[in-house]
Amino acid sequence: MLEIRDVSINYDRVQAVRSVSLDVVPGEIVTLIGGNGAGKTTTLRCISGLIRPAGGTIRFEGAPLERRRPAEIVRLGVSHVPEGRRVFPRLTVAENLDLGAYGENTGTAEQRREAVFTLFPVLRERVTQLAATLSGGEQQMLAVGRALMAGPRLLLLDEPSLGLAPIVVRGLFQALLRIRQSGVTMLLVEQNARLALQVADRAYVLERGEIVCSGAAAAVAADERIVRAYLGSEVKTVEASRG
Amino acid sequence: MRLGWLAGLTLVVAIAPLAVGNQYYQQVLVNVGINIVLVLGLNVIIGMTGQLSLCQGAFFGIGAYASALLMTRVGLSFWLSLPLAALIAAAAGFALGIPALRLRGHYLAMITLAFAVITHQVLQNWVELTRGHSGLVRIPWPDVMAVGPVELAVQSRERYYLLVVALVVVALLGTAALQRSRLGRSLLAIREDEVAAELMGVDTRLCKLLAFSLSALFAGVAGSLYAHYAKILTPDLFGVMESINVLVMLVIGGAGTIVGPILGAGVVTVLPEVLRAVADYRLFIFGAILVGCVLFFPGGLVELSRRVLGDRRTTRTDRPTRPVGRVPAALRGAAVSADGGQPLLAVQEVEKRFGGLAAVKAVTWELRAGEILGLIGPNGSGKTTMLNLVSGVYPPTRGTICLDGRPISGLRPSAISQAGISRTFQKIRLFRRLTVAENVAVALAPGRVPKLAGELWRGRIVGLDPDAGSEITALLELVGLAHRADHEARTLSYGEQRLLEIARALATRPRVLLLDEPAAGLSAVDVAFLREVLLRIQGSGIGTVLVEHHMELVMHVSHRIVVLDHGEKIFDGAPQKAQKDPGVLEAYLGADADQPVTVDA
Repeated sequence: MLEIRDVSINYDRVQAVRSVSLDVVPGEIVTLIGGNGAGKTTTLRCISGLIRPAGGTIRFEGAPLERRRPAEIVRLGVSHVPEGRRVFPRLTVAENLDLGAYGENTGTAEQRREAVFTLFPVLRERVTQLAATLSGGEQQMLAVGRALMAGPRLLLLDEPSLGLAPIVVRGLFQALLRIRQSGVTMLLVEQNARLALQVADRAYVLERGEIVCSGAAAAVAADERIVRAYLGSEVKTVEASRG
Repeated sequence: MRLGWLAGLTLVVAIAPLAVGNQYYQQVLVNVGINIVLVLGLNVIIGMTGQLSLCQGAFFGIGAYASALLMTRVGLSFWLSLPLAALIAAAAGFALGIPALRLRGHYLAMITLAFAVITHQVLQNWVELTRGHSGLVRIPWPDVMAVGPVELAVQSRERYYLLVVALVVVALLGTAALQRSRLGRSLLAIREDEVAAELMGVDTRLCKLLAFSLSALFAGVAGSLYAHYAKILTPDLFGVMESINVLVMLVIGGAGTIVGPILGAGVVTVLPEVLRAVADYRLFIFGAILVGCVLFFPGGLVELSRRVLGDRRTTRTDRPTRPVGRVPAALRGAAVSADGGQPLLAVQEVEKRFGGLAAVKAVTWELRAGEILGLIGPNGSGKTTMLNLVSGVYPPTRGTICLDGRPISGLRPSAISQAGISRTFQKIRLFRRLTVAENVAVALAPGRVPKLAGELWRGRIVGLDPDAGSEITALLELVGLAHRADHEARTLSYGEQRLLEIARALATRPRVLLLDEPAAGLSAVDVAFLREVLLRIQGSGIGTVLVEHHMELVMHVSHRIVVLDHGEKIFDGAPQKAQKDPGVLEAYLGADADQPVTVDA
């Protein structure tokens, strides 16, 4: 469904991602994990057209994405839930959702809004509230709901757990599993590796712009390299304390 | 050499119209000269300091009316009226600067625009003083003044032209001196990045007030020159459009340069005269030129010529090998004076709330001289907030921060910088259009209070004293950038920019150095080099706090690791223990759930 081949991305004069290849098959949840600055967000932004890759190819259902504008990519069926939620704070919940269905006819929008409310009942209660007044967890639900309003076949999620309490994160991840049941494929970027590996089918581990290990989620979870990717190689001697 | 050029050019300009003898050309040139002074003034506030001001025409008017009234009503000599008028305008600039300090961007533009409108209204309606719409008429030529054996008599158009040329030269020399002075560098630093300037110890409030005053001072001189040449003043000469017109000259010529104002004033003054033939289309053509200029050469005519001629300062070069030098002696002295036993920096129970959100919750840690402390934690754990608290970007909600036992929390960033804490930024905040050496020089200034008058007095306008020069070189050698000293910061590679930030931070002679992700985006070679630099800094006795996600670096270079998670300290100890600590692992990798996430029935 999504095919990334040898993609390199320069960001602010820095090579943030080096020759990354990854695949997402219909119906899967694939997670891309790694420490801060590993290039996870950059990769997602590149898929959804917010940054152009310096090299390599990205195909979605066979169609090349590298040269397309973000709005076209949304219309092709790829929606992006950005890091930090980015809801429109001074618009209401209903308006936020409607904007997600930009360009769709009202009937379709109506149906999808019902589906979003079924998934996140709390949003129905808050429908006339300004998004800024929602809690962090509710804002994240709104961001996911808004992305679903475009009727995507592939959902890109960037750190949905960021800044949320564990109980809220749990509910959110349960919702992700239900979204998968409804036939939406997902590429999930997470810093919270253990959680992501629980819900994902397969995983890729990024370390400073390169994929250092990949495979079935359970196998990756057991791999030693994942700790190294987050905390660096083991310190054996206290070499710095000679000063 | 440069002075020779200027002298020659001045002579040609001074003689040319006398030779031609055409009154019309002479008049146009006088207007060009007055406008040059006016634009040079606006250049101080916009071009050098980066603050958008829309009231240069108002200061121009204040200067003109003040000079005319001082001579006709008070009966002062022109030679006193001119400087007094300039000072009155400068005082108005200072007064406007006080409320304007709080504002930036379009808000600042609005308040200066309002000032222009108010000034116009005052000139119109304070009839007893300004005679309102009737205007001031029959303003006299300058009176004759004897300077020793020489008599200054400027009582014809030809003579007046020479006076204008002389004052334009003074204004140009003044601007050149300003650019090279400590104050000038501070202004440029504010333009490039006000927060970084403040954090490098520049008193940005004082500097901006001085910039507003100087800007108005130039306008006052121009106003006085205009009044006694035109002989008639009416309020409408100094309306909002005049202010806009001066801005247009600056933009077309190129803000932030010395040549730009000359070109801009010349083109914008002369062009309408040339276009008189096509009077109906004059404004249209003029507008088209302006739009084209802004679209294609935002740097003005100066940028256009630079692009054509090529400029070494802005060309990139290949990266040569970079030696690692030594920490300058001055720095080592500063650091060793810290008492070995007592902690250099003590952060006690510090808390920071943004609204209801606690970004940092009652965190305590210490740093000793010559120690590298790795401050790590997942995204949003409060690391950068912590650095901002220590460097004074914002005050803590609760708790104290002490440097050498003295509390520093609540001080302004520039005061904290002067007390001995310096920092770099996660997102690089160099003064991009200053050279590498100038970036360091801004932070170096030992007294840091701009001493323009003093520098001019001692003839040190050419810049830094020799000791400072050698300290800059030593700092640049330390980070391997000595060979790039004359290049603009924006032409450096990303890694070099990170290193320059460190050199600039060291130039404030800190005892504590805060580094915010210095390795972000660096190649493996650059990281190895950075590590060498860090160890050398540490060897000099400076305490370093390293916020970094490059775990390979942070774990192998730090003596101690402090881990933050959700604003709380969850670990404080040796790196090898940090890597095994269950709490740290959980913070980074997430908790092992006691029950798996499943879809509810």
